[in-house]
Amino acid sequence: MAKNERVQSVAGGRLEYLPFEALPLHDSVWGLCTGKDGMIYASACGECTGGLSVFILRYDPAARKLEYLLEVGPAVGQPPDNGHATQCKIHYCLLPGSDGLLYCATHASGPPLGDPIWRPWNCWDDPVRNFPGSYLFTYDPASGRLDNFGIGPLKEGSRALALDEKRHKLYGLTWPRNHFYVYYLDQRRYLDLGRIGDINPQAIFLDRAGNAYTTDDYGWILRCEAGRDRLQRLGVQCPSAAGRTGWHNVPYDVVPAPDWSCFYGTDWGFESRLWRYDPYAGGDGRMDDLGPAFPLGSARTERSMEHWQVRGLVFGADGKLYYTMRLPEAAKDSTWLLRLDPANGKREKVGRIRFGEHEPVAIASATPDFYGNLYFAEAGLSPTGLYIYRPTGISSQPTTFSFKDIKPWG
Amino acid sequence: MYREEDLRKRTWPVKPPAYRGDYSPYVREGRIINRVLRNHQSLSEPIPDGESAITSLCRGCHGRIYGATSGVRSHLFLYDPGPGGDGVCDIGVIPGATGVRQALVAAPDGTLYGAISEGPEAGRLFRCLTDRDFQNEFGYGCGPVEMLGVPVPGEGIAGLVLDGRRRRFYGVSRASGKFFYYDLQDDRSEVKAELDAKGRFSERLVLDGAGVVYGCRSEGEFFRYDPAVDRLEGLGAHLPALAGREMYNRLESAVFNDYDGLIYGGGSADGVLFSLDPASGRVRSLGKASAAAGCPALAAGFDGRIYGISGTRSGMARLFRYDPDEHSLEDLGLPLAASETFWHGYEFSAACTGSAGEIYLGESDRVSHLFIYFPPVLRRRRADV
Repeated sequence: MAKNERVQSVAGGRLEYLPFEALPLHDSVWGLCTGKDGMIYASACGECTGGLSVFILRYDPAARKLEYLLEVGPAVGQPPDNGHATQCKIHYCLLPGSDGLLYCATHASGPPLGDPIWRPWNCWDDPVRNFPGSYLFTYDPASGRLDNFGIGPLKEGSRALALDEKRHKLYGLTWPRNHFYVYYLDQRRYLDLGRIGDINPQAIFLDRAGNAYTTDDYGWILRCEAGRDRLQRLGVQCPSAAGRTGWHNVPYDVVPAPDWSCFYGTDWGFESRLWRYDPYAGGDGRMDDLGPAFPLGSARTERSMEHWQVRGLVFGADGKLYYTMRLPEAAKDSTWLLRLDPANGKREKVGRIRFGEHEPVAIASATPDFYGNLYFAEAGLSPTGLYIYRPTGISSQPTTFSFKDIKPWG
Repeated sequence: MYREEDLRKRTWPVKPPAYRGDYSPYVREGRIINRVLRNHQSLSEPIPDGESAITSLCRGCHGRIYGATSGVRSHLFLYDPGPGGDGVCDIGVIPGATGVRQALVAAPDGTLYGAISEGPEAGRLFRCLTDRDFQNEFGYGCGPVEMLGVPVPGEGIAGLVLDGRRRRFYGVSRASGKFFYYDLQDDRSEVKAELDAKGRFSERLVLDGAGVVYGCRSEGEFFRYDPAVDRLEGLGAHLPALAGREMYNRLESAVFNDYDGLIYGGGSADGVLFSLDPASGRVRSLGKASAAAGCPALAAGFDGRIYGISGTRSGMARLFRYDPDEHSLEDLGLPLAASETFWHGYEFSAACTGSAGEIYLGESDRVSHLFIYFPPVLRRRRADV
């Protein structure tokens, strides 16, 4: 076991903490995926300190070894000390390809070197402090080769990305102007389909036919038809509590069911619910409200959108949907690993994510390795890192999951 | 690949102290709200995304605001600011139109006139009777759209301005710049001049208080057409731009300010605001409100000040104000509204002034809203107190 791992027992297994200690100021891991090679890839982002570039890291589940592969800013020609808002993040835009490459888009929010904070609205027309734009590139972790496609959205970051391998194109969402874009990899062609809302969805997901989905500000499903590059608002809305309009009910995280027959998601809103969307059910598809992610009793749900933080959805080898969420505690609300059995809707606590005095501020995303371990990305603390759930009794061979189980979106 | 030891030895940046103060980039002087392009209380579907970019606005009878959109299809809509209204009514799709650009005017009797700028029916005029328009608790009603003639065959039309006293409106054809008028009394149009056959003219027109029409023809030279003598003449003065950029510059927005009798306008290339004195023909450059190019919308406030949008397509619009008494051009900030829906307005293409002095701003994005800016109420003091 590597020296920087920390361990605790939780229901059905162990939970480990893997901080990225060589990056003392980086504060979040937004991009997290499982590569074709079975390795775990993560983007260590630095958004709270000026002058940091995102790094891509690799974790080898077999050797339990962490490697710092690439400092992205300098590699795309934007060193983090050049005065611009930095290439500080790869948000939900670190995607694995079946060709072994990582498909990436950079994101903004980190200040220029020497500035305490940065906001795109304050710097849009500032030729020095503005964010040059989101770089689209592929990275081959085997060879270290980076193929830089240049900037996709000018002056904006990419919040979410999905890869349609069959058509060899990317779907993305810009921030802050919230435009939906298509990038044709073969032609290196950027196509802006226009603004979809004001609240930035955190996920674009793809069905078997390659149709891309996200939502508008009120959780109404938007579909970009495969091959047509046309956005349509469907007559299906993500669930919200009675009496609410669904505002800010954009998807935070969406994962495919293990058999890819439907999708499970949660909101970046005040709802903290889980939902299931079946796009194959005919018409505009069927949305099922699975209810609050975890019963909160009398706890307030509306004070802060970011309070309960239902995040990090991932299916385990047991067919259950694992996710993280803050739950009310007597002294201080804290982050728990939970799971839902889709067969009966039953939720249960797996364990509180806490290592001594260390507790995550937030979980950003999750992915499995091929053995069946589950990885959860941390956001909000320096150094940032991963939490690894190792279920008891999983295979000693990397055969529990394979690349077909890995979602091609962030 | 990086060696962990090397990263640990690296000198990382130091986070400086936080800024103290309020650095909101948003409009905070006065108040901004918006309206989704749908009936009040969410009683209808909005005008569809991709068809909702507001590219024409005007004030009709009873303080109602009328607008037209551009996109896959053009819609005509009405906003009634009255207490029973406060919603947007989709009057309907304008047949054969995909763009109506600065091409909507209201006659004194309330009849709305417009011109199709883009689409299969580009160049055709239309009108809509509005005397029976209403919006209340039980629904809304609005007049039908009636298609009229084509004053300049084969070309779209933009830049309509209406002279209510003479009961005529003026416009410009978009390809060859044919300047025409349309007489409301006998439904007759006549081309008066060709501004520039090579297309180097501006589509925007503006009327002064006497019904004289102003615009820009070749190389940004101002012209005026005086209907009293039926003569179009160049003024010699040119549309202000940064040096060397005159050829890119077009009159993008213009408004007559009856407070000081001046015309105010903005250029597309650099967003330079200017005033034009109709009496002397003198043009004064007033500067740029922001670093962005473009000045797509202007309106004259009841407080005598000029309100406008600085910015371009694919940019971030900023609302500005020019005070002619103070000679002060001020950025007010980015238009952000929380009601009716939380929304940053990034792109705008039209503006007009409401009957209570409120400023209407037509957003022109894929998903667009009618923004309404209420300038701050000026504090009044009695001189003897």
